[in-house]
Amino acid sequence: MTQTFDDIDSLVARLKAVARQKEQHPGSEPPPFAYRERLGEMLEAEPSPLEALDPLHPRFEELVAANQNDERFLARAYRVLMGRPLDHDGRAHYLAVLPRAGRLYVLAELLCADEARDSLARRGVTIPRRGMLTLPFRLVGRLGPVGRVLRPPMRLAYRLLAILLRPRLRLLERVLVLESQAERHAAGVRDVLLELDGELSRQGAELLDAARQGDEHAQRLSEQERMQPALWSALQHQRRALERLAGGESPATPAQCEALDQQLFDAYYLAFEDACRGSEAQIRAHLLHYQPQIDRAREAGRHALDLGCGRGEWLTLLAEQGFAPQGVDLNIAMVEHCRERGLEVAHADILTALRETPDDSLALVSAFHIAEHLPFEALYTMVDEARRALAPDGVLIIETPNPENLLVGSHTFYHDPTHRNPLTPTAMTFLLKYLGFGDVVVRRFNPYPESAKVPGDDPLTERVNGHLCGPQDFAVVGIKVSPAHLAVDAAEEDGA
Amino acid sequence: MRILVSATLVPFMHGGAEYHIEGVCRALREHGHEVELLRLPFRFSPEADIHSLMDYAQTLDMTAPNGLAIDRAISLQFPAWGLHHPDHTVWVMHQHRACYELWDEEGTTAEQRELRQAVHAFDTRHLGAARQRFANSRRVAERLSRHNGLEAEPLYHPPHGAEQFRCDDDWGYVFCPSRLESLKRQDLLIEAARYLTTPARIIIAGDGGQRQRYQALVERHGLEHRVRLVGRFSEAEKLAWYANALAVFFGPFDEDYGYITLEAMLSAKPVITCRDSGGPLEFVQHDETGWVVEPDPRAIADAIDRAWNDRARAAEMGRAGQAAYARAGIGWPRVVARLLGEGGEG
Repeated sequence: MTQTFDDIDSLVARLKAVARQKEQHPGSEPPPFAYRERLGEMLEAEPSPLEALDPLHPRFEELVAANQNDERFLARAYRVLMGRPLDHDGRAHYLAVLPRAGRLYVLAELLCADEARDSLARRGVTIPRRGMLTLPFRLVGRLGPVGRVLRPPMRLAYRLLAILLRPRLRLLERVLVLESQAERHAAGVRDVLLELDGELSRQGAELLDAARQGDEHAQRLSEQERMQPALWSALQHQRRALERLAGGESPATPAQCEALDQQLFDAYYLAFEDACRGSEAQIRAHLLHYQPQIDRAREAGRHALDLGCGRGEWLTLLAEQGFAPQGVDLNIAMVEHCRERGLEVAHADILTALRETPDDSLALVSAFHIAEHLPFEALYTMVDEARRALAPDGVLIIETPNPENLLVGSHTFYHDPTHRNPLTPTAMTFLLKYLGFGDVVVRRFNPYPESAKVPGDDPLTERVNGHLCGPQDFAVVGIKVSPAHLAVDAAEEDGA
Repeated sequence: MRILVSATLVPFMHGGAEYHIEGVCRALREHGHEVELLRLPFRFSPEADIHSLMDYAQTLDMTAPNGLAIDRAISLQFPAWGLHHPDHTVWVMHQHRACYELWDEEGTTAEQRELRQAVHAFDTRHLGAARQRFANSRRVAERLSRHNGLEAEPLYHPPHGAEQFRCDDDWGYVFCPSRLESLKRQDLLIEAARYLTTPARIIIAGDGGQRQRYQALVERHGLEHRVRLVGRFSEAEKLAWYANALAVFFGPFDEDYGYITLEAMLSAKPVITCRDSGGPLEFVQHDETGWVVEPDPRAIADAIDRAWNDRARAAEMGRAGQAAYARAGIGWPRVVARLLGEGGEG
């Protein structure tokens, strides 16, 4: 498409605008598929041209055109020698002469004509073997009337020569045509390949871009998929809370209002856990860290109580390992969630549930991420009651965020609106020991990935990494010491 | 390999030579060689300065300065090729033009004649002693052969940012980018505008010493509505000017090489040039990829009119030029291979 501008100022302005636009959005439109054009040109069959390959230096074999019919021979001879198309008279005349005298004679006669001489000189065209070809003509011409007698034998001689040379001229013409075709094709192929090369590298770059975009989209999609269950479950619990409220015919009392608020909050918290706590597979992998504690508890029995059981991942794991686990949670949404999965879970306060448990009846008491929600009196009571309820050699596990990691203590701990204050490994260890647990150890889990750490291994870097990227959770684990142990210990002490 | 590239430096006068020198250094480095660039400060006058610089260059033995062996020396400009190295390649960008093709016997002083003699002798001796000789273009090689009797292989290199040129719709103007200097002969194009029979416009881009004269010429003939001197241009503007041109005019007097021709071909635009323009004639084929005409405003006007009257044909010629460029195999990798004597011809 071409465009014309009425005035030069608008032309200049338009061009500057285009330049600016290209500068801001380089390569916004891909170039056309130029190779197809070249390919089309190549595939188009070309008829053998009238013009000589080199118009200024025609080859002798091109002029004789031994592989073509008389008509084409004449048309080319006229074009090359006189620079014009074959006319009707010339055509009729020479088509009659050719069978008797042959092509060499016709060429010689044409070359001797004034028109060809002028035309060749004007255009600067050189005809090979011109002198030799026209020599007999010129000699016979000089002889005047006598020459006329010599014409028929001369014609015969030309014809014989033409017959004699024909195989060789045919071959030469064929070679010439093939050569020029090969050259043209080679150039064409090279052009197409060059265009294709450009096209390929352009498309390669586009593919790379597309792949990068695809990755981004996939990432965003998986994020949304992760959020989706949380949204669905939040929606469902909202609906259930609404149904409960609508079910009562009497106007809502303040107590009902409070209940609704609690239910709404429970639904929120379940959604929060779903969205923030990581996938079930991740949690399961983490819980398997406690295999040594599970094995140890198994020796003390098979009853286990999980305080604040949440979505029930731990209960599921214990059931798989042959325990008869029970859970307790205050959050009605969590309780329903667990019950739907066939787990035995009570909707109750953890201290109430513990107090109702008989003495020495449990092999394992666990509290994952509960302690940090409790006022200290409740925490103290929980540990004390757990010791009472555990059988000898029973195991207590209390897991909580680890404030040794500064980012946990100052930041991530506060993601959860129901957290009170971080607990330290030292304080928890002391609490368990004070309340009579033995073999009290602290276990630390979930450090930041290596990639998050500051590179380097000097003391300062290690310290920075320890404080900022160290384990995000810790557990304090204790064993209810059996009276037998106490007796043995006492005996050993006595013996010492 | 350790390669010493040598050239001259004319402080704050930057042109195509800067790009060429930096281009060859970069290409050699990209091929994994260590490259050091040596630039001798050059002053065009007085004559004594050139004499002393020639003398100085001859004292430089770069075989192993400070005991550190240099594997190759590649020299691009006069008189840097006077230095000594056993494996010395010269790639003649151009000679000291004032003493060669721009020499005018009339009105010369005795000092100038003496300088010319010295320069010829210097070039013949040092260029003759080089192990390999290349010229920036066939034109430069011809001059070397004529004046110094030395043969050199023409070795072409691509213009800056060769991959960025593009071809867009033709907006009916002839584009002429060059420094505004007498040797570039923009006046031929301005004069040509007087004889145009079609409404083609002319855009002359660039700045230089002749700007006022050329602007006055436009005004004298009342050509403001047709011819515009748009001055300096950004890289993006240059690409846009080329991309939307009907044709490109580049008709300097006896140019060495001329990036403009190549840039036009890369933009798939036909080139109008003159019979005595030198370098461009190595690339422009008359009636195939452009028009080679007499350095005469009427002949140039005629070529522009022809382009306007058959714009489809003009575009086709532009594409033929683009294909010719691709076929010529002009690129830095080939330059490096030839300079280091690695690749065969072609």
